[in-house]
Amino acid sequence: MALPNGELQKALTRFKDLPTLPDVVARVMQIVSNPLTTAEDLNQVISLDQALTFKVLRLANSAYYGFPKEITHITQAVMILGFNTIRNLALSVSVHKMLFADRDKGLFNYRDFWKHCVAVGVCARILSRRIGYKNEENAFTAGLLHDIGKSLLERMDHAGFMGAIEASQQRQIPLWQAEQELLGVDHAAVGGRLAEIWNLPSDLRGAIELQHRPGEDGVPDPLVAAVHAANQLCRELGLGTDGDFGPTLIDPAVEKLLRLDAAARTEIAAEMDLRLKEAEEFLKFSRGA
Amino acid sequence: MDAHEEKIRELERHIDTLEQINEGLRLSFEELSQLYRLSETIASALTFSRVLTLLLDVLREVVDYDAAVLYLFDERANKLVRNLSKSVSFDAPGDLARRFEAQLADGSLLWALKQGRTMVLADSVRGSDAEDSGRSFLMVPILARGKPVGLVHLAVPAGAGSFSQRDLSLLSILANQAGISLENARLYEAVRRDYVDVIQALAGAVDARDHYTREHSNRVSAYAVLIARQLKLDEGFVESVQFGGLLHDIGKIGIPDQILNKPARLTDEEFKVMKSHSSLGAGLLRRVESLSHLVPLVLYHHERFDGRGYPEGLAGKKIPLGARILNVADSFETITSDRVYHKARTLEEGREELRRCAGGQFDPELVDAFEQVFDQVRELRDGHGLGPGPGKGGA
Repeated sequence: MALPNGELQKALTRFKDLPTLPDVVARVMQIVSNPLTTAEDLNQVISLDQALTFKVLRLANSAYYGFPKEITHITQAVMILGFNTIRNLALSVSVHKMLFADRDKGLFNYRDFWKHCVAVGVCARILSRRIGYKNEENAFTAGLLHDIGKSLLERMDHAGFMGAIEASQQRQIPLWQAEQELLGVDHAAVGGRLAEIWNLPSDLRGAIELQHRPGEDGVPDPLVAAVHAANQLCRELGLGTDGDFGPTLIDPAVEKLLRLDAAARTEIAAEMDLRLKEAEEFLKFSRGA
Repeated sequence: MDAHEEKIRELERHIDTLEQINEGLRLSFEELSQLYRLSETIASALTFSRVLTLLLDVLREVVDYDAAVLYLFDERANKLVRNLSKSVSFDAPGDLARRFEAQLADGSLLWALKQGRTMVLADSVRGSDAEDSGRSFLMVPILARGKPVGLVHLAVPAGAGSFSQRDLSLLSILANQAGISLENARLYEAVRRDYVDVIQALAGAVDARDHYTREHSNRVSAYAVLIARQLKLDEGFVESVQFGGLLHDIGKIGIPDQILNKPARLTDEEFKVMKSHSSLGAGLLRRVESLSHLVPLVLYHHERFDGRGYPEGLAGKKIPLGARILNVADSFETITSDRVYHKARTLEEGREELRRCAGGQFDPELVDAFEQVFDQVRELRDGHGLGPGPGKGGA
């Protein structure tokens, strides 16, 4: 399934000028990776970007986090929601602006696509919480960003990507397979490469890159497993669209790790209903909040 | 020569780098040692309340707080209940206490607990922005294996923005160490309660066979505890006297009914059988490891100070102290209760009888101690369900 590294490099040379992460977000990631930096340090960087500050605060105050009082300041948001969450929000806001801003083209509707991404994020978080995974906030972000490779492929080679979607639909094969056949590279590999260039935390990068082959090295990583299963569950539930028309199969090792029996699936679907409503604010920012 | 100097400079650079690395390692080592030491401190506590007190002490070494409140989580009511406070009083709440209360009331604490992450809030009562007030409040959830147990609420003389990720995770690590210790203490205390229940059930088994001795074991135990406390013996000893008192007649389980409940004086032969109850009892306890330390108390509780007791005729200080204490308590209880062969004498008469036999049957020092706690003995008998009742036994 994985492309040999040389092949990937060759395929990626077709995509010149990979988008770079805004300076503010790059610095946010650097700051958060140092355990000795303070909330005030983080505030000073984010506050430089007013639009980002505004969006991060809006999300911090959304029902999704449900803090009982209003959060009016980035420092406060960091101390209440945690360094990781604020880093993830800043990252998500920027990536959305770069790769998901509305641009409806043929079969690929970005609004529905973002809806799929938010649903996978919400679902990955639910799944990771069920198995007691420590960093459920990262599971949400990993789900949100798992398909950045698709956006990139669409932007860099619209016709080629649309061809892959069509092939997936006509032959009922997984999109990644169609991409590999037609473009020589798939969205997971491209997304992983982008995450590497952007210096995303290694767990997020792993979840993006390994989403379609979670059990490859034996026991799957919990974060990869959560994203993999969330992706398939959301496709089954018909939440948003992601251009993939292949069968919705969950890797057996992941099914086992997440204990996904029929009862668990029913519970998860019910919780998704509730949680998706709370995540409304995340959907809104595809309407240019 | 140039090449040589170049090499030396390179070496010097390497040494610099090594020293920097070394300094970094030393710092992390110190941090780890501190964390280890503080975790060990918390883990050393055996009781629930001790863990809580120690947690507040230990957190002070990490963050220099002005005041602290510790809550326990009541899962059924979904509520945090105040358990401990330090440097803040809620009896007549002042400004600080009201701020603590406001954050509890507005749901912030419960929210932090559900997130399971240490959080900082600016001093919000003043309604100002994060930077304005020099004080902030830390909320450190206590989790045991991911489940909420309680929360520590700290008022800190520093702005909310001044905490680093490391500060916050250090607090969380220590609180969660306390969470595990609390769970252990809960288990320990539950086992302990079972232990006491079993002892009480065993004592009750004798009472069930010989209904005239109802309350006898309880009273002997209570009197013995008073004497032991008066002698300033350590709590472990006091406890063994307490349990020894409850179990001193356990061997009567093995005495035939017609002797145990005979409504008249025993014959010599019968009395011999009756006397075997102390060694029978000791034999029973010897087989239970957690009760075996009570064997000497039970075996020798009928030894007399003058050496004319049984089973071995030990005298003076050769009789274990616990057994001598039980003998005083047992005799007083028997004298002052109704028996088939005598009516209960008054407490005052009982006391006089002990005094009369000091140095004979009883260790005189223990009789002194008993007289010093006599008022408390009277209170026990008058008050707490240890009132006079029908009784026999006390062979």
